Amino acid sequence: MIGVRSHAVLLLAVLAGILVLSFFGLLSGDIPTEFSDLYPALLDYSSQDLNQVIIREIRLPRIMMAIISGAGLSVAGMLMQTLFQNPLAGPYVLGINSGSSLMVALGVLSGVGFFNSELGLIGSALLGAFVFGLFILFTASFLRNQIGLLLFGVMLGSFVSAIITILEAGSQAEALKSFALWSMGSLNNVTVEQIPMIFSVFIIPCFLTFFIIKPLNILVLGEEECRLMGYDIKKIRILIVFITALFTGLITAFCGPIAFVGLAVPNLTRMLFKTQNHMLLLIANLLFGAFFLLTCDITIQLFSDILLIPINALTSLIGAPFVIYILIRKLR
Amino acid sequence: MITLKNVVIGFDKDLFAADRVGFQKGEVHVLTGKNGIGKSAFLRTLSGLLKPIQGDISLDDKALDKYSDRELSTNISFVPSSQKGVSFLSVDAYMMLGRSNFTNMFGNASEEDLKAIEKAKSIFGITHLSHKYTDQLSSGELQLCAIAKAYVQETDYILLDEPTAHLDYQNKKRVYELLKQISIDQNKGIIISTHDLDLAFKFPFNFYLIKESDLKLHVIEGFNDIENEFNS
Amino acid sequence: MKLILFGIFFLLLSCGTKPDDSQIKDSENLCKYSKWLRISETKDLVRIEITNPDDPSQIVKLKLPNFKSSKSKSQTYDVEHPIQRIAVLSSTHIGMLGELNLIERIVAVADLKYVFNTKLKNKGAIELGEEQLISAEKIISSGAEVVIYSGFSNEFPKQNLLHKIGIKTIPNYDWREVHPLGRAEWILLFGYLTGHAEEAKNKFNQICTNYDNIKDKVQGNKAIQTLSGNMTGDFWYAPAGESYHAQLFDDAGLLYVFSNEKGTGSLSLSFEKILGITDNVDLWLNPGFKNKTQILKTHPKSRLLKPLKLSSVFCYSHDTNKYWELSACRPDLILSDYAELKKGIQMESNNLFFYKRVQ
Repeated sequence: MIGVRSHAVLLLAVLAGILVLSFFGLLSGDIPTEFSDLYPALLDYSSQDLNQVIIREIRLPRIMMAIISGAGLSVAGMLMQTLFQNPLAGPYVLGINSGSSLMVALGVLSGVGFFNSELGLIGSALLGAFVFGLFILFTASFLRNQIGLLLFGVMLGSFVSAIITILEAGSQAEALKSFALWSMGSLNNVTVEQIPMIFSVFIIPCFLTFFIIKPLNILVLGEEECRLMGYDIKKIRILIVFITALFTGLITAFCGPIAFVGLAVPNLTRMLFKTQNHMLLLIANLLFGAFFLLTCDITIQLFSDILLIPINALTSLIGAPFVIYILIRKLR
Repeated sequence: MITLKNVVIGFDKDLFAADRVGFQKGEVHVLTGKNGIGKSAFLRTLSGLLKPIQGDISLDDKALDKYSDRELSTNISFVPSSQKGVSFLSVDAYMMLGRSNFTNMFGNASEEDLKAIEKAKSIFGITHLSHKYTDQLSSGELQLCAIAKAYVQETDYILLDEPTAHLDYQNKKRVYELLKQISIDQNKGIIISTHDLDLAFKFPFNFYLIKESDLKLHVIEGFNDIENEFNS
Repeated sequence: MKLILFGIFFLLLSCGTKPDDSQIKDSENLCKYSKWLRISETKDLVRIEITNPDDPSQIVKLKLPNFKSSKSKSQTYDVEHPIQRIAVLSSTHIGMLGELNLIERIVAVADLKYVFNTKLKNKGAIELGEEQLISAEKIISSGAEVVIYSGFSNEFPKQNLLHKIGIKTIPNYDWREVHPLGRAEWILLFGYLTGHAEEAKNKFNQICTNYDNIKDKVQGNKAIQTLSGNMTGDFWYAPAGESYHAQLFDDAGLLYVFSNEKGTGSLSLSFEKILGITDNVDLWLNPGFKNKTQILKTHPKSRLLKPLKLSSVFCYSHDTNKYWELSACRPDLILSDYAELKKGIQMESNNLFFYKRVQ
């Protein structure tokens, strides 16, 4: 049995890569900073020094968010691909981010506005994800099988798209641009104060996933096999939906939708490690997902003088050809 | 022993009835009938995947519906009629899933689990397939692996739905031999549904027929009953 | 032989580029600042030419009678009499007609909720919606003789249909003008169309005089480092050094931080870069929000910006309808606001017309 230990070298290399890229990201940008600025910025902060402010307030949250989002979306994608036994399922297939999109659209496009409420952009997105997440969980609890869940998610997504289109038709140019920009995804909207909270919420679904590694392993053979091995498949399904909702809702609320990470990375890890062992896959997806998104982020920063690339564009540019490759392999 | 009293098998509608039937351990029980009559549904009901429309089914004197899913999986294993190969799932990993009741919470194998799998692979003659991925196997090879997987689950009862459908003659014979051996040596109750009756009749199995005329499960002695059923 | 060929080639070339006789010559053009509007006036004929900034070969030409004198029998005109019923699709158009006291001629607008002019609000008008999705039926039911549009896309939808019925569609590219006075100069278009050319000319001259007076007073000594724009998405968008806004800052004597950046559009910059320069910035204009809470809600990291901490932020967002309606035709009022803001601590909030401190 190929387990985590024998792949430790590769996994550690990726972890090292994440650390190296993080350092690089903290030190590069428009304003030149020194290595000596790092320690005070992180541990001995003085808000008077411009370099420290930039490292701590601008770069640090962005990099942490890249790591958390990449990791979270990849694991969510892994869960969806196992639940639906389909390598083309992604974290958004249940329709959770539709909730965030809808709330943000209402706020930005219709001028009903979260400016008037206490919530703000992130609050609205979180609320939307939460409400939709509950709705989807509730539906999952009495659906007979996962096809129904998939269809429900797709329909929910389409329905919300339609409403958003109506809102867009009646909007001013500025509002449209604002919403379009949110939909492009951004790692920059997180403040350093929010990071500890985001991280603590992120840990929960990671932890929960650990507890269902064994049923996940069996689930690749289908829901029936899972039942035959003694698992309450309804409970497992609900738990998977809950974990995915936490990951996806959290990340979409703070970053907007980020495409392809959750779709491409789980396929990559499965192909690379040639395994369906979810213990290995869980760790691999966390690491590779974080590494991938961090790489995308650094690339965007490096190019920012020449070309403005929204994060979604880059993940799609890299992710889409990869997904096409998977499709071709699957069809052969 | 698995006993059925006043049972009607079916899901959307009634399929057939089985009353005062018992399946002992230590024996192989063969079920047959025309296509679509409900053989699969029957096995799925016994394995807990389906509920009977009415009646009482008990396993070792305890009602089947009183067993938790987990308990049931330690007593009964089920091999469906067709399996799906999964990419990057090796035969070893596939069979390890059959050991789920023994492995730790992350599915990690102990020495005992590894030994059990090696033994099963050698019994079923699939050791040479150990590292192949299940989506690279032929349907026959996959079927053998599925049977071996049920075997390592170490349950008292093994239910198999048309386990020889994809196998060549040699392997059909071998599977029946093995099932006979296993039932005797390890005192297991084995229930299979099949259409390969010519071969099955060569073995000292118990035979049951679901007759189309009365939609009831009958115990049968001779081949004549079967011929009559399928000629009508 | 070569010479003959060259000669023919040259002739053909010059044939192709021979200037169209009917175009208004520079010497005849009475528009001083506008790039896209040209007007010539003689006793018999007023010619108006509106050039498409994206495609200079596309020119809308209008021939009007000179309403001051009697019409010539021999001329054919596009417009026979002063326009009485106008549909306007932009706030700036309302502002210009308002300055000429011709609000009663407006019969249709894009959206009533963006109207500032109280007279128009009380009078009411038919709502036509966005330019791109406009309904021809609604235009016709309003009884408009002319539709003034902004030309955001290549062609005004339903243009041909409206022409068949006899409704004229005229683009107004004031929003494409880079020179602040060039933008205001479009008031002349409205003047000529409605038969109030003299009022329009007088009004415009007055605006120019006001503008130049303020400019002469303040332009000399430059002071007050000024930042403009705000974060949208991942980037800060600020006007480039040769843009309309930059010109206003310059004319007001404000030191605009990006005055050296080439271009007439927007610059997109990272927040890091902005943070790097704001230590020296005294004044932050046009963030696009009316209070601090809104700025911080959209972009919480803005709290690191010094001008925000010092409340040295000014914008027109407390009354965007007013700004969008009047800013185009009254650049003198914008300049006066900037001149007032330039006074720094001695600035009087009551003297500001468009702007207000963002608290």
